[in-house]
Amino acid sequence: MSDELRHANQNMPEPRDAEIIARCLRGDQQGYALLYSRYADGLYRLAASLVPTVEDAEDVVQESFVYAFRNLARYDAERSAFKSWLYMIAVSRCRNVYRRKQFTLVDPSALLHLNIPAPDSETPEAMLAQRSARDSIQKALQSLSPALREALVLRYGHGLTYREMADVLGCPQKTAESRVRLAHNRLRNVMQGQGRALLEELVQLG
Amino acid sequence: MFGLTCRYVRAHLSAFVQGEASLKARRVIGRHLDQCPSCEAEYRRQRQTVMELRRELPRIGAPNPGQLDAIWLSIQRELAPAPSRPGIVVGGVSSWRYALMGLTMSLLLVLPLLTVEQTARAAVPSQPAPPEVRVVGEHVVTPHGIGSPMHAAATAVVLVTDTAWRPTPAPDLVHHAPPEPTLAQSRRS
Repeated sequence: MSDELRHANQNMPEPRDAEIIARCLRGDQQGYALLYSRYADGLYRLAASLVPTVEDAEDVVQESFVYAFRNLARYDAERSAFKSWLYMIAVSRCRNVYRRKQFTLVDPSALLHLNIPAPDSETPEAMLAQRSARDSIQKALQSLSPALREALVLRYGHGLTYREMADVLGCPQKTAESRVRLAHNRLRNVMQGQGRALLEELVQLG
Repeated sequence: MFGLTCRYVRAHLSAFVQGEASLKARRVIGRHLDQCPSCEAEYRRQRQTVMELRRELPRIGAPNPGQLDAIWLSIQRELAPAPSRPGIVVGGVSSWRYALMGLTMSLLLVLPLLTVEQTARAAVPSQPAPPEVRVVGEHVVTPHGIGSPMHAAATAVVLVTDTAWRPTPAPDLVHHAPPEPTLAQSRRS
């Protein structure tokens, strides 16, 4: 991370988003760097989970932040959290990518082999279990529609609440819940019968 | 044996695993899972799926080192003020441009009004109005002479005016009370 972004992170204690946004609107350029350093990683992971290539993900992140910074005065803190607003902008741009490229499914194999830390345990059994789990998720994700994949990524990949998901996806909260549930059921059906017994024995239930 | 309770549990198991089931459903499912090995195994499978998703999905698409810095530089370049347009500040939304545009539009709207007013003042006649005349007759002038049978093809009408006539003042239209009787009229009555 660059010196400017590192410097932006050194401000202690962590100011709230509303304070940073107010600084930005007063013309404080450091505020923009602070917002970027706070949300860039999550926004990139979201985009990379939804669009087919790394270049598309980079474009989505760049366009989303540029749009957000240029329209910061229009952000309404009473309607949604800044993170939800930013994710909503990014999801909208991801959907543009789907339409432009007639893209329906992400290739998780390319993503899953990028920058994934080593498994917690280095034993062959644990590594086999990890690989089995990823293969299962990879196949399962390939079977989902973009709407269900969005719901799944936001819920499990980013830990959003259903209220936040509704803001991001532009749908009622009940719809967000049902999409997650539907995606969950479809995943479970796909992942059945793929060496689950070994995995269940190796991965500790928490 | 796959009974009614099993059906209920399977229908609500997904919500139960994700912690969204109602209190009543949680009680029924929890009690049933202790007694039914089949539903308990299904619960373990679903729970395992959710755990894997929560563990694996956040790892998908993690940026490479330096990738976010490169994007940040691109953002800064895109938001930087262009050389031909100095003074544009990010977040300020180039408000001075909107102000200038608004001022220009206001001037464009007000300018025609000022021009029209001046034109109206210039159009007021500086000379007295022409005297009123009374028409006492008219002659039709035709190429065949006045009063000829061909006067239907008249090409001009000459109005004859009374030069000695003077306009009488207009009656007071507001005052409708009858005039006061004169002293001679009062004596006769």
